[in-house]
Amino acid sequence: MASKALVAASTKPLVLAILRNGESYGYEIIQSVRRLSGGRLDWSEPMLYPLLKRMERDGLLASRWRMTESNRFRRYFRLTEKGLREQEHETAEWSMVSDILAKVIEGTLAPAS
Amino acid sequence: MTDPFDLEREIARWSRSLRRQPGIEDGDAADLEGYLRDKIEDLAGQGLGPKEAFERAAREFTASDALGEDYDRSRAAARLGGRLPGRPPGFLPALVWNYAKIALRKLRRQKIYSFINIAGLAVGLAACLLILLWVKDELSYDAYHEKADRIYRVALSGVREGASEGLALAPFASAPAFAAEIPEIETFARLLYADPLAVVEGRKIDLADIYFTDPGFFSIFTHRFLAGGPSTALSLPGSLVLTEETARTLFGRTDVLGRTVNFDNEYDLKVTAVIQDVPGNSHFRFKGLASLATIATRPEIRPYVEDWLRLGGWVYLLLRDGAARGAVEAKMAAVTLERAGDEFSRPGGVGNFRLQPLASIHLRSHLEAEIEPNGDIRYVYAFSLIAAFILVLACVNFMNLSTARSAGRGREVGLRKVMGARRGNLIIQFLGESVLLTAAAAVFAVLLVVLALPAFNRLAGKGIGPSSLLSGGTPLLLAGLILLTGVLGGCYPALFMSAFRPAAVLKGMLGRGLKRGSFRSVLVVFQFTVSIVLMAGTWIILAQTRYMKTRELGFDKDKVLVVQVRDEAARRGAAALASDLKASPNVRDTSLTAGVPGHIMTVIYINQEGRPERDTFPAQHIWSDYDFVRTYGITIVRGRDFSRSMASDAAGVYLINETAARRMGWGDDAVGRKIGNNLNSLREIVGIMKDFHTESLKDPIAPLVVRLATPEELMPRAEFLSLKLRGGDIPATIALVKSKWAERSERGFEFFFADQTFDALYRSEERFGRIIAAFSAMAIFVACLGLFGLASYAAEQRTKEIGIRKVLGASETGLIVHLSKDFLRWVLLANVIALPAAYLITTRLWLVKFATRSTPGLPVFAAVAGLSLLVALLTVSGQTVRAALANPADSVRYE
Repeated sequence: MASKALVAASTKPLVLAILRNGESYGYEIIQSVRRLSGGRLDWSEPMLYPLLKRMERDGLLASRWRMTESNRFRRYFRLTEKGLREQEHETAEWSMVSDILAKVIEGTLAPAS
Repeated sequence: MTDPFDLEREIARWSRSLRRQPGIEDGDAADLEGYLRDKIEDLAGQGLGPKEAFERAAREFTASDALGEDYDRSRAAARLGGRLPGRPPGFLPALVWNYAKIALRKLRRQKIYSFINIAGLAVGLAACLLILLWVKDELSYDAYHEKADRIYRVALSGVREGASEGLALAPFASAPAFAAEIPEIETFARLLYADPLAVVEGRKIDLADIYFTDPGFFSIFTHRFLAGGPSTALSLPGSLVLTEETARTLFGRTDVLGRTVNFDNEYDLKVTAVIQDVPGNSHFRFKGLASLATIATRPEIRPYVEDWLRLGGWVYLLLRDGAARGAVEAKMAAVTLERAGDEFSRPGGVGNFRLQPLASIHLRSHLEAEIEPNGDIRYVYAFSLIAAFILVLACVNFMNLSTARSAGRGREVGLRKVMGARRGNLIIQFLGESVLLTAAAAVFAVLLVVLALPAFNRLAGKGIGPSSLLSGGTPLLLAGLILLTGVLGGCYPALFMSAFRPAAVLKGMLGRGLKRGSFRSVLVVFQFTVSIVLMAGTWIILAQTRYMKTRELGFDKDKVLVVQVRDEAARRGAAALASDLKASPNVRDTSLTAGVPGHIMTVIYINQEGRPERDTFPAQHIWSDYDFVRTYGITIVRGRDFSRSMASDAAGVYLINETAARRMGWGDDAVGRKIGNNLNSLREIVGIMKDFHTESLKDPIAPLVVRLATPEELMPRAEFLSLKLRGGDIPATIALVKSKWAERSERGFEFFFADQTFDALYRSEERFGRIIAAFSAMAIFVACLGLFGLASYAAEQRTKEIGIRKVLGASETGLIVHLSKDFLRWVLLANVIALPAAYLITTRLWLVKFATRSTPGLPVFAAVAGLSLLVALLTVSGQTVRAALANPADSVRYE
């Protein structure tokens, strides 16, 4: 399991990244994360739902109701222009951290020169 | 038999329970229900039955506790910082808007009580604020000097026998000696007072409050320079530093660097710096500074600079960081012994040097010859105490009225309790209400203060601006005051009302104690006690001041016009003027002297014939011509007055007062004995004058010797020409004297009447009395407001009783008496407590500092008691009369 702090920090970029591939809904997003992380990230609905609402209010996401196969309404989310930019920005930041982390670890493992 | 599992019913139930959670709205629930269904569908797809799928999905939902909180937070950014709409911030109680609504509703409904509450609090707070501003100003004296904690004034202790604590002056010769030999002393500044005639571009302007001083002055004291700088301002002889105001007086502008000013037609000074005017909270406010080196070598000044036994003026020292005052004082004693022998330290000697911290001078130094009149720390304490009392009075009003009105709120309290309010909630509600009310009152109070400041400044002789309400922690203080007053005034009603038992109050049964209000009577008694103490105190203080001003001084101070004679030319003019005026029918006598009652600057050490040289005592000394005793109407009890017909007088003889005669140990036999200021120049005593006051009546009469001076002795020393007028048209006489003066002297015509001098001596007491009077008026106003409120409440409560009494035949007068009786009883009780207290406080703490005092007698206390009863009666009578005159048909109609 990932640490609480990491979960908190990574939820938003992950949601943005997943929605970059197209429209999706809450439960599907949870399933995607679980699948992609091999079960190491296990989001709960009560955690995700407020986040989606907040992101929608912040203008990163837009939502609409769509009828499901079982004739039920389900809310689908997609990225807005702003969300797209935010996603690129977030990804860049995460890659940067990841790069630095990699370099640091390389550095400490390499013999001192 | 088991119920078949109905998925839809279970989901509906789940959804209902979700909606009950705080923070979940309908839209959220619909969304979440969608999630649940997605999950159930998924699980069903994995082969689980509907029941298992539902249970597992629901479990995972509820596993996350604090569901609601998450929703709360999800709205955070857009709304009220993490709160639901309508819900107050976390530090406030949940029902705060409701509390506010109720409080405002009460304010609107009960206009009279709200007015009394707010007006009482506002006046109380305003009085408190005014006093605090005054206290703050008093405490801020001299604190603006950057090195204030290292600055000391050199004083001499034990200079004069009797009441005096010491002398604020020091010999100028001591300062350089101390600085040279005591390493802890960084630098020094000596101040020599001058009131020169300035000549600028041919114009002549009389200046005052100019000091000649050392270059170290600006290393010690902090002043802001508009032109020039601290290091160069006084470094050369002939330097002159002007304040902005003086520069304007002399030149009409402030860019006057390098300009020349002539003093007394004798020497030129060059303006080397212009500084900002000295702040009002400074224990001496000079108008200009000149370098002492300019005049130090002049023959009349030189002895003051070089001689250890002459007191030139005030001496200030700057000590180095960390220097101990006691150690420096010890070293000063050693240096003094080495340089001046034991003249200072021996018994009966000049006295010992001690250091006064700068910060303590204004409020705690009451020496002889203070550079300017100081304040008094006791006044600071007294006023602070009064401020506290007035505030408590205002709080008491609030407590009284709220508990009196509490009957009306019993139902509210009961209802709130039934709805689940705990006592703590109610206490917070009521305290909040009182703090809110206090805050509203504070707004009015600030307004009142701004309006009253000019009048208060005149009364207190201050220059406090409205801006000081905003500076230096005053707003913080005000906030603290509001909180304190709100909590103090609100705590009793809060505790009292929150204790109501809902069952009892909702049934309409209120505790009997509530209506009887014995606690309220105690509070009223307390209020009036404080007010009466203040009233009696004011009376006694003003009576003492009046007593001092009107008391016989032992000489005839009426119609004595005193012209100030400041320099050589003026003295010659004055002598000529005196002989001119002798012919005038309006002038009875004239006398040219050095020193007049109220203005005796010289103290000499008296040697007596037949006593060793060292055996001296200090006495006030006046150089005089033949006519001093006649001009001032002084009585000779033994011997005779100076006489032109006695040839032996011409060489110089003495008149002494009775106190001096006693001090010499000769009593009535003093006439014919010889005294002097050293054993080589003893002169005969020709007469003993009846004791008369030459100083404030605060001080006991001191030994005084009047020396008949030869013209040669008098000429360089004379300071005053006293003219005893015959009455008639005094303004015309003044005009005559003035026109003659103009012919004789180029100095301005400065004069005063002898009685004014004495009035001025009591200015600080008079001021104290007037300020106290103003504040006791406020206290009484606040107390009366409270009484008024209670009276109208009582009248209202007793409407039916009054109606029935009237129906049964009570007369209106009888009813008024009946209704007023209670209140008057309280006020009477307050008198019984307050008057002895006032007597003790004023006689023990205040009157003791006066050598001559009036003892407050029974009439004073009777008057105060009568006045307080009258005020109380007037306050309640409006209400009682209205109640008594009401038509009983209206009040008993419904029963």
